[in-house]
Amino acid sequence: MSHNDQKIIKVLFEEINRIDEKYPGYKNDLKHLLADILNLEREHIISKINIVQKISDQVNKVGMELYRNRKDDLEIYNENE
Amino acid sequence: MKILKASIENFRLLKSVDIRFSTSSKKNITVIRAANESGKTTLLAALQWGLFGDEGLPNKGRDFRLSPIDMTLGGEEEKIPISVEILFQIEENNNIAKYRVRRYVEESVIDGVYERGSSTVMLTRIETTGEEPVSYPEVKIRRILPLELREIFFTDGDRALSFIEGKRGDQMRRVKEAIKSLLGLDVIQDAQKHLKLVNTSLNNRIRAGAGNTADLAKVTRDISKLEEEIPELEKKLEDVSSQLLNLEEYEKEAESNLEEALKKGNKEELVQEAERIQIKWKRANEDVKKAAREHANLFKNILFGQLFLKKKFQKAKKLLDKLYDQGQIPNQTIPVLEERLKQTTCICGELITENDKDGKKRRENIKTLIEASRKSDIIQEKISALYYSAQELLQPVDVNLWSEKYKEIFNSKQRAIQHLRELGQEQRDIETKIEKLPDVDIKNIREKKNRFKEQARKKHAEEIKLSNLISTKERELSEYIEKRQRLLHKDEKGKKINSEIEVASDLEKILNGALETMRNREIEKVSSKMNSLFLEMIGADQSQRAVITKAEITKEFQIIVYGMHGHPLDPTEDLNGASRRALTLAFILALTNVSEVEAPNVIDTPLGMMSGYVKKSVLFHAAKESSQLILLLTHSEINNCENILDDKAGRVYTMTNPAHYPNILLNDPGISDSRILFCECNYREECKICERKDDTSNTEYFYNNEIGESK
Repeated sequence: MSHNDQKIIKVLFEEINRIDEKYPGYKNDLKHLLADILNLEREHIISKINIVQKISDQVNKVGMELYRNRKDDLEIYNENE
Repeated sequence: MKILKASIENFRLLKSVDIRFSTSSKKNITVIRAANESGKTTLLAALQWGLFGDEGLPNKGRDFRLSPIDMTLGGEEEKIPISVEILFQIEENNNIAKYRVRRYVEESVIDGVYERGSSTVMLTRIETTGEEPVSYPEVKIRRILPLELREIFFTDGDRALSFIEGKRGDQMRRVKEAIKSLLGLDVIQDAQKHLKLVNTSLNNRIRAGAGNTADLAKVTRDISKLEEEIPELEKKLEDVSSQLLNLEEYEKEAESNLEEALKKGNKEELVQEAERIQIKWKRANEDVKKAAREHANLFKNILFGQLFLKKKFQKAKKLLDKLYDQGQIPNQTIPVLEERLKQTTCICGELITENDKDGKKRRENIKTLIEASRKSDIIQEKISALYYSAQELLQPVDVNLWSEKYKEIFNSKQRAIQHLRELGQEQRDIETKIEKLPDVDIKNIREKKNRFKEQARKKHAEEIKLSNLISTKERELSEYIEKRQRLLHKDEKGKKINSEIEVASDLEKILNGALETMRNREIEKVSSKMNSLFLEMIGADQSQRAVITKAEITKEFQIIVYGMHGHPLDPTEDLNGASRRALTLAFILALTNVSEVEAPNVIDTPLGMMSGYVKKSVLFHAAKESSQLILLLTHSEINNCENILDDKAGRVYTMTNPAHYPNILLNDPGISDSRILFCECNYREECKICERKDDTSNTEYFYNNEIGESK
């Protein structure tokens, strides 16, 4: 963890708690995602990386998780119906 | 982070130096005592170079020779090795980890011209088993202590003043940058920016796959357009706001220039004043002429005649009165006699009829009298005229009347002359002033000020217009995004990409919220902490009607100080040097405190211009608020702070410049080259190396050599 990232993480986690838990563990996934983004940002300052692509990949992972959970929920709902 | 030790070789005047820093939490100060020109700033630069490389040097190391100035080598083959090695510790996974960073470079100096290659840096982690090299050392060091924090943790008393001195726009930018760096706002802003690009790439993906879905193609096109437009408008708004700030600053500057010029004298106004006085002078000159005329007329006045020919007039009056009494004035005999001829009797009662002999005789007598009277009539007429016309002249005269009139007119004339003289003098004084005035064009300054005012007004209007436009565009964008979401929900592919968009959107919300919280809550904390520290440092007791009552950081990142009754004070003009330094140190300490970043505060000459209570208080609070405090102090800064240092200083060194012998130093250091000497003398001690002449002998030397020579 970098110099003042503890402070930033603390504030970011406060904000995460305002977001809906779209599937069990969604907020936790967002926490990991944000911590990764912060690390990527720190790395980006000192070395050339394709940060947008890297963040896109991370967003895609959580996005797919969200999609799968929603699909599962819908199937369960349809089965029950 | 705490610095444990630094070893410096051939860094300017620091040819071979080893310093250990205090890491104790109770005695957290390391004092480096040094007179002026004894290497304090060089030591500060060496530590920064060790950690940050050339980025840590003044002007990023351009035109900044590192090797000692007296070291010149014979040829290109010979190089001067320069190195700074810093041993530090950080907290890692709840443990203390020690690292050693060594930066090394070589410089060749031929005929005074130096050439320096790129520095190499090595970072090793100190384990119980030995030292482990760390790969990507620069990356690791920057993570521990980012470059943007350098100016906050490594500073000097003068540089810190830039937070409250200079142009308002520059001050605010510096404060904003410091806050952004230390609170990590820039990393959030960077993440926001990159997330926006992620969103753009997602939108592009949708557009590319939209195929024949015309609605989706259109909405993604609109979104792309707005996503391009909004940042451009935001950038424009930022520029306009910055220009507005500058214009307000220029207006303020022109206003103060105008005030300054007017204090010296307004040439234009003086010329106008001279013209006004000239008009007054002309009027006064007319008054003098009028008074002179009145004065002259006084001698033509009847009173003057009455007064000065009084005796002659009295004599004439007696004669004329006598004639009057005799009936000669006016001549009334003829009508009386003619009237009598119409009667039968005379005034005396005798008959005057033609029938009577005596009466006829008497009648003839009367006729003769009438004839005689007619003959003397011309003289009598003149006498009568004289008598009646001289009546005014012959009246009794009040002697004081004329002299009072004279006094009145004379005084009035004197007053008019005096007034004319005064106006003449005033005119001459103004002309002298105008001649002496520097050629400052007040009219031009005033026009400039008004021009800036007008430009600022227009810029402000532009700012409002842009803000409104951005709000409108953002509203449109969110409407399009909702529409896109609805359209995407129609198939599985769309649902997948929608989930990604949803995650990115949640991340954006989190980052926006965090930034807002950091901006408001955390800056408020810094402001509040700075206020309490500053007031304690300067000993402003609110119950004792303190002159300074509050210091705060505004939402626009300006540091403002308030006086009694909430009256805002200009820190540059209304605070003394000690208070200004206390304010900037309070800001730095408050910022490091709130950010919870643990790093050493290395400050060069922080107590300059301070004395008494403020100096002790600043030192006390700086020690209290820092995890590690490294102070580079002059002897006079230390003066009267020894007791605090006894409690708080864990390590003390003295740096001595041998070139100060014999002016300042008592003993010949016996060194032939230029180098700073170190000893472990504390602030109460002196050794053969650092012993100085007392102040009296310094003063005597200065007098004899400097002032004496100039005499």
